[in-house]
Amino acid sequence: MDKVTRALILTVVAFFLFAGVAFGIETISLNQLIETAKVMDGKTVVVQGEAISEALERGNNAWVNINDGTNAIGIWLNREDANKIKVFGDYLNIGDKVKVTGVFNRACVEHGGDMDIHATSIEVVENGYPVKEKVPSQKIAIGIIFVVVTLMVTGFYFKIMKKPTS
Amino acid sequence: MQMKKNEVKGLLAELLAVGVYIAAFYLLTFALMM
Amino acid sequence: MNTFKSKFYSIVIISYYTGFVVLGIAFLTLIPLATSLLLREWNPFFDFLITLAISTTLGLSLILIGRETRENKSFVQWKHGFVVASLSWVILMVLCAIPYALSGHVYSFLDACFDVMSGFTTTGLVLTQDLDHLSLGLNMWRHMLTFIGGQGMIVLALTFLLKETGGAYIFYVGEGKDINLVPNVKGTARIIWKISLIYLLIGTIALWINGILIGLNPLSAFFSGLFIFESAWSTGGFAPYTQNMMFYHSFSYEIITIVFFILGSLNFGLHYAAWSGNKKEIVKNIETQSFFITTFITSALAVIALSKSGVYADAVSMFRRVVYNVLSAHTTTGFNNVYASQFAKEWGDFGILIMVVAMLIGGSACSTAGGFKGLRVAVVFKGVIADIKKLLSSERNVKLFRFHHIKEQILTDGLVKVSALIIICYMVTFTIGMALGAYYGYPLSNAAFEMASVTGNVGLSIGVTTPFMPVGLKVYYIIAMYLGRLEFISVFALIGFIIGGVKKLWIK
Repeated sequence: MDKVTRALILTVVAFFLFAGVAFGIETISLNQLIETAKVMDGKTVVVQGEAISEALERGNNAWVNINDGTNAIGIWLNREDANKIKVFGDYLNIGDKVKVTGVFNRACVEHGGDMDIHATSIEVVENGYPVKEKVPSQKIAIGIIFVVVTLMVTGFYFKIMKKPTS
Repeated sequence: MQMKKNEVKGLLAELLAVGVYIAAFYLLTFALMM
Repeated sequence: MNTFKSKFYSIVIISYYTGFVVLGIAFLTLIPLATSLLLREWNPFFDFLITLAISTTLGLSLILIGRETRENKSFVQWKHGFVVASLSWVILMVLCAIPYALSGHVYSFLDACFDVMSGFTTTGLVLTQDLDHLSLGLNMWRHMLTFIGGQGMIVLALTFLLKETGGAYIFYVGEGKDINLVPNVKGTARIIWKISLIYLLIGTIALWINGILIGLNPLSAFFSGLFIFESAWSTGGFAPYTQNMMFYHSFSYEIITIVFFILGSLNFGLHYAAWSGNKKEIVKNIETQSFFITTFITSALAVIALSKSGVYADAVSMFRRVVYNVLSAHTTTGFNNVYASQFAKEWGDFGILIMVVAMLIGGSACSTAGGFKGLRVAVVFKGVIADIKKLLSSERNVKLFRFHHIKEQILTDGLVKVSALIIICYMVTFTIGMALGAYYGYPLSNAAFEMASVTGNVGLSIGVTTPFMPVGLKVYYIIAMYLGRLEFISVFALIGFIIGGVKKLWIK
């Protein structure tokens, strides 16, 4: 291949690389995606959110619901991808933050009209972790004090109620 | 809590009635979509 | 003989019985308390401990204040019953809001009260944030409140706490459950509970098994089963996750919820009749007939409306996303499997209007459902037909019109009038709320949808209900949910009583 052709090829490749980055798909917030569902229907999107509760396994696939703080949606992915998610969010845990690339469906025919994303790839961008629960000392103090007061009132109650009122 | 025979029959009748209702509405939807 | 030491003996009576209702709630906090203890959720544990303490102290104090009532039970009158019913709800709203407020998941105490009122009235609108990270204790509390609210808190108190039945009927009617299943009220309350608990057992197990089949782990399948059943039967509409019914992505799960939310929306008298051997009542009853007709019409029209927009291509999708939500609306349940913005953007004005009508008509009388009630709608409808027939027939014929509700009944002018008046009360409440929404700048269709959801104690949202909504609207919604659930009369009695009491004090 002569120099000119090589240069041309390199230029074209470079152009596409930059174009890919410039016109790259940006992460969209779930709420915005849902609000613009009509326009986004069928498009490939990138979303990022915390995996919630657990993976609902269905044969070779699974549902993973993700919540990005603006809203929550179901991601349909294959078992392999689902297994990449180790920590799910609930009261005692913050779940893995996953970045999902996939096709958005406004009314998925495969899933009875569900608004969902069929993932083509997922990536765990932040690992989840257990939340250290801390009860504020005031709460404990108030709790104990109130219980003591209640016990006193209860004692008083039984004492008074034993006597007839007339 | 014991259930008398009548109560069981009533329970089943209700479940059946609702089941038939749901099936009817599904058929209705199907019919309207044609 | 009246041995009351004070002239204001009404307050003493009211205090006495209200105290028992408050005590009832205090006992109920033991359930989420135990749940959080078992699951080692320490913050909720203390939240419920504090609530338990406050409620117990308040309840016992109220009973103590009213203790003279023990010797004067015969002086309990209708007005006392209504006031206890409506007053208890207000006190309970504040007490039950404490765990929400302490959890940090609500933006304000008002929001906590909103969610409590939403639960008690089995509405289902939610201001609590981040449901996905809510403690199981608090989720247990929310769903339990809606289950209890559906049964009726007065019914709860009557069944377990009062040692005698004298005057009990009065409180029972105050909460809108005026059907007399057996001669005594305690017996009636017991029957309502038996039916509900048996369905609770069956429903929880059915949802538990189905939950496991759709991929939930056994523990969450159990809790989801319990919570979703409580929410379905009470036609409440709460769910343990942000996405409500969409979390499960399951047609079978949705179908099971339909079964239980329809059953929950039926008149307890109908359940009793069917369970006592009178199975034919299920089809003969005017309310089931009315329900069948109105759900049929609204569903058909909704399907037609959404066919035009072309969002759903096949019957399964249409059934799941349209008919399901219409039935959820009509039974005043409030489970949704589409997003709020979808109602706003995909249903169109006609679709929204159909939903408004469905939500306002509501479920059956004497059930967990809200709305005008099928019985009233049917009675008024028949009343209009009857009037037309009377006009057209010879004046010498005195026609008697009948309808079948548990037994053969006569369509009297009085009955038609009362039904129409209550419907008017609902309509006025609805119209004011819709106008208020429009005043605050919401599109009229959205204001109407949300207000119908509030008035009918439904719980579907088109997006108006958020923590950032105008405070005036938030407060009005709380009041409207309460009025709607208690069917106006007890609340009017409470207001009348307060005004009367203030007048007496003023004269003194």
